[in-house]
Amino acid sequence: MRVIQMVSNISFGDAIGNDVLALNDLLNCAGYETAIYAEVIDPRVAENHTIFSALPLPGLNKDDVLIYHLCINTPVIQKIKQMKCRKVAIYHNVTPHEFFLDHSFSLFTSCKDIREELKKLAGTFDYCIAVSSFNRDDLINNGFTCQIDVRPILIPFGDYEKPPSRTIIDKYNDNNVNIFFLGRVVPNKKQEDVIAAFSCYVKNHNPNARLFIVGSSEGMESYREQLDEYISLLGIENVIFTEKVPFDEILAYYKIADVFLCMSEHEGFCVPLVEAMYFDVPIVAYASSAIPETLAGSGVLLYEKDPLVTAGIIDKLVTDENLRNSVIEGQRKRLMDFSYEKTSKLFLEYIENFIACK
Amino acid sequence: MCGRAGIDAKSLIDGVKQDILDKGYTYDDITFSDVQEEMLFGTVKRSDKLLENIFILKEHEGVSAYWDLRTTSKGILGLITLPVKRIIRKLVSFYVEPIVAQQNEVNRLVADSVADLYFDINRMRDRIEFLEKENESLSSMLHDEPDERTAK
Repeated sequence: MRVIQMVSNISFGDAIGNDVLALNDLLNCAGYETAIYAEVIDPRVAENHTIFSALPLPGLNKDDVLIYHLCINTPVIQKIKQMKCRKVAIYHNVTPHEFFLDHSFSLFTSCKDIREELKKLAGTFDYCIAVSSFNRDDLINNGFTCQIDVRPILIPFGDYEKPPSRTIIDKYNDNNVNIFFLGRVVPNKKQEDVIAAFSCYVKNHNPNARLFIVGSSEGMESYREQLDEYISLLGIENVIFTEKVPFDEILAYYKIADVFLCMSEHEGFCVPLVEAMYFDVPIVAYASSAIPETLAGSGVLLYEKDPLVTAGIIDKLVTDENLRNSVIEGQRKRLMDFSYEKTSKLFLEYIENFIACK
Repeated sequence: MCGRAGIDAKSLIDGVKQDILDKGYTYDDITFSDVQEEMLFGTVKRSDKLLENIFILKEHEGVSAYWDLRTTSKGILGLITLPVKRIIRKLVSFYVEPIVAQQNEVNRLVADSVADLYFDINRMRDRIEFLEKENESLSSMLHDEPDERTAK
């Protein structure tokens, strides 16, 4: 019996790609014969891992298990319906297509298609694992009736012990306050709200603060142009868009960050929140989608978007050491729920139960 | 799940709100939606015929290798036609299926590329419009301004 994973796109440094690789190692260690198949393979991932092309589909018999990572619509989804093996879906959620209408037609249609396809896929999978309860509810709302368990994304925290970029640390690790957000520059992540809050913070509390917006805007050039124009009209400086950066630089931004600010309106899990917990960076986040569940009472959760209030909270976290320590303490406790041991054990338990129940 | 040691976010937020009132902070900056409206970047001209065609193109980008199998023959011929067609289909599937998959991929890429180009053209058209307006207003400001030397 083989347990193979399939994903549409395996990219370097991407949360889903990391999850796939980590699960593969885990299944291998547990003694299963495994393989990873992807439609689009990032050469940087292929350098260190064996990834097979998803097309033509691998020949699997009825005892084999296919774990499909469900996130965007691809031609392979239609094909896996016909496969005779046992099928498991790991659902990472799909961003509502409305966010992309004015910016990327291909993303708009891709997200719209998969939302429509989701209903048709309800009977395809024998078992599902969702990375949050928010995602599980989404599957249920789309007519999935099979058993659905919740398991957080597997995060290999050992990677965060790698040395961070000295260049970034030397350049920015001074007495100025650094506010940080990590995530693709896309409309659902609402970088404009991060900028608005930063603008208030700079104007009312700390004129020397910096804002780092780390993430690629590839394919979202119009949104990025709007953000640039917004910054210029607000008359603020020190907003640094880094675009996509190497992993050691990401680590360095976490190291120099004083606050992690997330105003996103759609997240299926939000790995950067867990990363901020790991690096002891206090989190201020807007309570949307899976974010309250990922934070589970830690960090500072905002139920309204008022840039003045957000700026005030940032100021309190920077200036009030007791508050900052309490927030970090809460985050450390929450981080324990995402430990590699705990999450991997949970995943293996789920998969072994599924394999045992034919 | 571990026990939580979270902070009392509600009183923190209430405290911050009180601070804002006390210090008289107000938010009267431009909003992002104002910027979007003003710049009109990427605004979709939804009545556009080209956009309608793109939607149709997207709808039909995926073709199927399998048509419904039918027969108009009657009698014994009618009985054997369908099974024979099914066998032929099975025999050629190894050849047809990859071609259809490739064709679908090409169709998808063509439809997405046309759509993205459409968006880019719209964005640039709006950007030009915006810059022309800006240019016009700057030019008129320049002409309205009295010459410093004559003003003296």
